[in-house]
Amino acid sequence: MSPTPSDDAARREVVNDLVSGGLCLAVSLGLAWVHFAQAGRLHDNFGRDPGPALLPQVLLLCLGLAGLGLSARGLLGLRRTAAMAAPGSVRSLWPALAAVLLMAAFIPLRGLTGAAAALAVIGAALAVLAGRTDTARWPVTALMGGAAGLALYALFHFGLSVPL
Amino acid sequence: MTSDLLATILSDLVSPTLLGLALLGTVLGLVFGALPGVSSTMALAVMLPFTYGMETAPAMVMMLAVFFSSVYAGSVSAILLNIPGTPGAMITLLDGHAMARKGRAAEAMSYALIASIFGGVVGWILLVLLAPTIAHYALQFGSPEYAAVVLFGLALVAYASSGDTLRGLAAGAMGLLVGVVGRDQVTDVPRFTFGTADLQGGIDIIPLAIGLFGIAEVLSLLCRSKDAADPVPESAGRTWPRLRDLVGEFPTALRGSVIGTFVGAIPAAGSAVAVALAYAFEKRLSRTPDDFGTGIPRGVVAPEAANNACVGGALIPMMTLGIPGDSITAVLIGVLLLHGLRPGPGLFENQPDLILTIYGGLFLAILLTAIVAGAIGIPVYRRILAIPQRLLMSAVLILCILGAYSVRNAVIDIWVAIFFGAVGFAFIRLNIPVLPLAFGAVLGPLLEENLRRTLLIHKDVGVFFERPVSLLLVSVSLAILVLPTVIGLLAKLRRPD
Amino acid sequence: MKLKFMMAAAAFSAIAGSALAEDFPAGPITWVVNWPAGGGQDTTSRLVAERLSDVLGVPVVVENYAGAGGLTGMRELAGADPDGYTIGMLGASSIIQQYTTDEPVKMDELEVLSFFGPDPGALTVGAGTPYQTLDDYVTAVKEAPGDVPNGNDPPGGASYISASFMEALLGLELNKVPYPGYAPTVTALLGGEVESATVPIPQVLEHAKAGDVRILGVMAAGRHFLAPDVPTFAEQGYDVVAGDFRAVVGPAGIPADRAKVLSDALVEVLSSDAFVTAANAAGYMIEPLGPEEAAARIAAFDEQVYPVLEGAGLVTNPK
Repeated sequence: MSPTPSDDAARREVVNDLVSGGLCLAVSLGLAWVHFAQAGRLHDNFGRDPGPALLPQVLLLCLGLAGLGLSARGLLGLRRTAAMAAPGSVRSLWPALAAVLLMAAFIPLRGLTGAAAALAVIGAALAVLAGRTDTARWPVTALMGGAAGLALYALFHFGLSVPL
Repeated sequence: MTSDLLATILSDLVSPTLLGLALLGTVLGLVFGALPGVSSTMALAVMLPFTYGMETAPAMVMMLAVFFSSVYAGSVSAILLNIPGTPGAMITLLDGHAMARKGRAAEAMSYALIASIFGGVVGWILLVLLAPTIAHYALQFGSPEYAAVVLFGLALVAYASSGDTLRGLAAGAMGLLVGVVGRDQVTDVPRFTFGTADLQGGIDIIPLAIGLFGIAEVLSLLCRSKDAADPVPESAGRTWPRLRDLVGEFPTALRGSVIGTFVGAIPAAGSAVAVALAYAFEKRLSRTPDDFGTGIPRGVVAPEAANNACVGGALIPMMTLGIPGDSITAVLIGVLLLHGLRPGPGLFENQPDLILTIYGGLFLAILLTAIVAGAIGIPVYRRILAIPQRLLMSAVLILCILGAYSVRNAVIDIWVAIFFGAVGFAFIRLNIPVLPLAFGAVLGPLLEENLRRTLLIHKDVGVFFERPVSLLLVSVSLAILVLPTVIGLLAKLRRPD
Repeated sequence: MKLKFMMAAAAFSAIAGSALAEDFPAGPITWVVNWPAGGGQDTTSRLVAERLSDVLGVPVVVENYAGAGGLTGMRELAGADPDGYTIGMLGASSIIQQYTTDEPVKMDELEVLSFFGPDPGALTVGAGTPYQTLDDYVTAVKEAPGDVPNGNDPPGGASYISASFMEALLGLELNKVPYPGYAPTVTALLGGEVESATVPIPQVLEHAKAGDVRILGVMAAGRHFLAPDVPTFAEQGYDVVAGDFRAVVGPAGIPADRAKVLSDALVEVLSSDAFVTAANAAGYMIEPLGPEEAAARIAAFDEQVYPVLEGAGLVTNPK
């Protein structure tokens, strides 16, 4: 029996459960370590006030339980569903990663060249990234993306006097 | 009173200076408010220095115009770009942006405008007629009631957000944890600051929302396959909704407006609570609750009516008690203070002219927003969609960086926006609902603070069941959370018979 | 657009008829506010900046760097070039933060230019409470230690410190209930959730006039100009002086001649009748002092507040 598209969708949800369950467990355990290792007044007794430590503990427990539940459901689902015919590749996510890196580059770039130039460069790069499959020629796209970056800079810097 | 008010409005309309300043304020509000991260508070603060040289009346009229029109314009970036400029617009984008994707962007903006004007007028009428009464009830709202209303809001969001329960729970817990970051409001102890001073003030909700909704949306568009259809069609469709459809939305708009006015009148409750209540309420009442989030006008009308009714509501404690209902009215009080006027309980007796000025000014602001946004605003906004996708995506990401930064002029907020952009992208890929995270982060701190303050004052949680308002809200919240499960169980038990 | 025009206009007026013929200041001055737009720190800053611009003949641009309880702005200020073109406003909370936060801005990273004025604390009770006088209140609190709810800022804020001063100096124990700022505190007082509050006079003045609250005393050396009928604590036999204050500072290391230009201009602005009238109308007490006296005032506050913070268990960064 060959997997059908609906089987693939079910399998994808199972994988999603596993990934999000693992993520929740990792986040809750990591933050729990941060929380319980914190020195100072966090774990003091505050009398009538239950104190600042209670809510994070309740929430970490909830998150951990949700993570356990998701993982358990994912593991059960693994047995019930068959492997995908066309598994989605992590590699197809590269444009998102590239965009995140370009945005993050703004802060160091701003220190080197100033905000205006940084925004123009990043605007041009993002426009080329977004238009990579378009028929438009990339130098034109880059030029217009850079101009848009500069225009937005001008709007915020001069129009709203934001100290960029 | 009524005739005086009419006279004031008429004289405002025929005074070229007042009308000109109000018009200027409306246009500036429509421009600033449509930019993500540029909140109404910021638009007002930018205008503040220009009011120094003015008389009180023109200053107030201009500021009210900026205030009201920027609250409406907050829905524009939510609908067109999926970026909420204000917490109040976080709900609007659910159906507003979904409508835009269906090629109904202009219609969504019109629905938002009509609902905003309607909400503004209802808020204004309640302000004029019932301000002292509403203020009296708002004062009875202590920490227990406040904690209960936030719990109610969280219960409604849990109910309103679609998708898998376990994943919703995980997202909600993450959102509440985000709200915990920073110095605790009650004891000033830092939590999850990872040793950096930048996180001590907590994670600001606007950069978070810009990342979670705006950046995440563009990131997932960037990864879509080549042959997929355009995400937001260039043709923005018809501009004005059919009259028949509009009439059908009337009860929704009315309920949203009343909720907005009352929640707005509670000092520091804020429009985020109001829109969550209004949206979830409509979803609860609807016969087809699953349609919400797929791009139906009702999902735009409810939060937008509530959002703009909050303007009138927030003025109630300011006019009657001299207490700012939110950060926006705080700037308005600042304007009055700079003109040597001290709003307070004596305002009605001692400054009847000022009351008339403010009431008249708000009415003028609503009127001008309707005209300017309808005639010029929407036709200009819809042209944003004519920008080629590659340029629009690049510009939106730049706008997200700038918008996040300008909230507090803090570099950390750029990191916050990028981080939550990645988180929102991961949530979309993993099919986890985003809404519980956003609202957990908004409402969590309010709930914790008021709950713990209640315990400090009243010593035990029994007080929630002794006070009528909190008793009602807590029982309804519990009913919302527990009843569906109980009913489900009962149905299962009955089936074998 | 507008701003550009204003800058151009101000620059033009600088060339046309400036009183100062020196090279400093030759360009716009940035005024850092470490709280969001619309608050007390912002309002007072904008009041001064507008007139300072007239005196110096260059634009003075107010920039809000909110966040981290005011620390973001203080960092921006302390990290700026000490060339005199970046100055800003500082409040009591920045002194307190030196000892209560992990990576604070220390006072030696800043240079004091002038004093703006005090914002003394006051004790206000709700009209529904039995306390008619300060004596009544003190007696009642002593009878039920830790039971009388007092509305104030979160720990470290000005009105929290005022309440702590009162506790430390009078041997009281209050139930200090924190609210995020003055407005919610006053709301709670009006609604009867707390019996007393330690916020400054301007916040409660109108409610006292309306008879909704009673102001029992001012924690200052002299009476408050807005409420001349309200006696000070000292007049009633309780030696408590507490509250917030504001001062103008720049990053440490501003050249002496430039610092002098700035502090002279500030004192000139703060002493002018027009400014004092405007500030008083908005409820702010003005006390223009030069750099030495201002630094002495801040040092005195520092000496006084440290033991109180220590007593409240708030010090994480000891002196």
